[in-house]
Amino acid sequence: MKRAKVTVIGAGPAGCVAALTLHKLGHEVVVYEKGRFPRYRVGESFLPGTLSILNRLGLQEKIDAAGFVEKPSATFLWGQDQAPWTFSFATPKTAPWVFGHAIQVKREEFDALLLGEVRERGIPVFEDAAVTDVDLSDPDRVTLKVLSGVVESDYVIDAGGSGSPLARRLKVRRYDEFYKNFAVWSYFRCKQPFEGDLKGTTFSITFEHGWVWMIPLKGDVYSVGLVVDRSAAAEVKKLGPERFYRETLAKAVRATAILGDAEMIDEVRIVHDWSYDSERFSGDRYFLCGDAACFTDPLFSQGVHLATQSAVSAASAIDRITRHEDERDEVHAWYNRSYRETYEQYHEFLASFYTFASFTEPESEFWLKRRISESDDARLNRLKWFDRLIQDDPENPTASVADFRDRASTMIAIGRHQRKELSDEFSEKELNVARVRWISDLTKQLNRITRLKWTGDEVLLKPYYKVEPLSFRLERKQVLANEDGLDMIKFPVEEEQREIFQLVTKETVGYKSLIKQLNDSGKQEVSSQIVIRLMEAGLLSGYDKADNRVIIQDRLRFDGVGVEYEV
Amino acid sequence: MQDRLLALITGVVEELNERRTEKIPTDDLPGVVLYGDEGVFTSMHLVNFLVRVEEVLEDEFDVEISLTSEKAVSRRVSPFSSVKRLIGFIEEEVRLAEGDVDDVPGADAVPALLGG
Repeated sequence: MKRAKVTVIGAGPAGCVAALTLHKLGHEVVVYEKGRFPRYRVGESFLPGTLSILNRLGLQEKIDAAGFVEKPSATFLWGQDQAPWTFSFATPKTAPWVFGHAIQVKREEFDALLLGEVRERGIPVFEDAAVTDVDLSDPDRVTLKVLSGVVESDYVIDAGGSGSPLARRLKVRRYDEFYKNFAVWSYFRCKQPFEGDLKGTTFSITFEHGWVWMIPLKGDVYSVGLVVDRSAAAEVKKLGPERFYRETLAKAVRATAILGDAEMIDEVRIVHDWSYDSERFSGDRYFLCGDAACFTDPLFSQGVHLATQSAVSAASAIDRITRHEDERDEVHAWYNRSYRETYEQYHEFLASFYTFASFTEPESEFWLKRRISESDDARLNRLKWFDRLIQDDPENPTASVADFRDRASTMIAIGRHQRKELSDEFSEKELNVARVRWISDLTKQLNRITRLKWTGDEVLLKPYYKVEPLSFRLERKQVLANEDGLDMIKFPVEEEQREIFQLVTKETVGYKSLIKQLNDSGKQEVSSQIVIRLMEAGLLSGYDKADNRVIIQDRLRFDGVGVEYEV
Repeated sequence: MQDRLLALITGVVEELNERRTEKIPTDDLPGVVLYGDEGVFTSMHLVNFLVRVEEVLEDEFDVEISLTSEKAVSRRVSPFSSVKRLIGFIEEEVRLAEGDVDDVPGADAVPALLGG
């Protein structure tokens, strides 16, 4: 097998996971880290999908032994006078690598654990080794300046965080005009206040000027951060970080009620430049991963998952290109598209939740700026999800800016507590009633469809890629598309399924009949999901007996939770 | 009736198991929790499962049964809490559809033949 020589910049989660994946795939890899571990980082709350990746890379025993706080859910006091709601990670274990919980970690400990594993597997790691320049001009190799010397390799993965040398050199970073926040945070000695199903949960709590994160860590410590508008910078300068932090936190009374008289045990830290992406995430012989590529507001704890998912994707892409040089352009196209879609999912999800809260909190500068209510919002004009939202669809009035806040409302309704206040009496079981009702409504809507309509004339199979969950190899798959380039990339299909959808273009086929055919073709686990995703992609629409369009509400979703991880 | 329904649902579960890495245990299927705490299905898996069960019921009994009716959803104990409960609910619905109203057990009754 051909081996690639890969240089990884940065030894955080993205760099370590990229190195471990490349090593597993049989490639030669070296890691250069500008700092020295252990070192402090914020970003302590994870998603289950990260555990899944680490499990499949063989780190389960070490993760278990570290005794990190188990995170069963995220709980939101989201919007003034709103009952708490919980986004539970509970999910059936459909495979050994599917997790119904995540972890909360001290990053200095977690990151050091990952780097220790990299070293134990024999991967060379250099600390205090800042990469100061990357030369991509030679089509056959990459040259890096590091440690006052020069290093050559076949590929480079820049996982160097927000200070990424490559993103800077390529000038591809684009700052986000919507999430112009900054965060101010510290740590409190505070026992977890709940013993039941809220134990281990992350609290996100809105107040007039922003929101507060509360993340329980080992040793009865809470990470408590304020996310406020960047315009507050002047006040921070005037008051100093600690006074600003204490005075602003005091206004978040639902957070301080949880903290009680807990003692602050660390300094106050600040970070801004809150959200950005890159015009492109990869090309030729480079890949950007994690914070080097993009960063979004931390509300849904997605940062480390974006980092580890992109790291696996970059490693498997390099492996694929090394074995199939002729597929280079297609593999880069896959990496860029899949990364951007994941990033945009989070972006959309976050925007809907901010919009929802903006209608319940007092109309402060923070909340007014985070409300989406106009279709000509220039802050969002390069985002595909926003383009879809503002497209006029006379048959689907729910897909509009005016109803955008309802997206979050639907999800919030599924997780709403029965009590107005946080309580140890809360049980995740109480959420089942609303969930079952949602399932019932969805099933009824789908069953109403007596005629399906394919958009366009042709049902085509288009090549795409998927990372195989255990081997981490990038495999060529096929997805459904039409002649105008619309496609649905989530679920790969084969000729048998293409023929089923081709029938839809010629005959009257209802939902039940379609599902039966998909089930018979071996897609019984995902048949409804395929139909819904095709509708979301604009490839399929459904009509009832009276020939009225049946609208299946777009569900807010993101990678890293549930049973179908993207890598 | 209950044995017949159990056999139908076993068939559907076995079909699903063909594609699952972690199989749904079929040795004590009545006790299997379908959804929620310890449940074997995600929301979307349950949607698929219910549509498939409705389909086999229609084939077997020639009646249209809705497993997502208001009656099903508003049950104090959800029909999806276990296969046993689901069979109990289906039995009621089939008997109602067939006009055999006298034999319909009370709401939330546990089918005796399937145990506890």
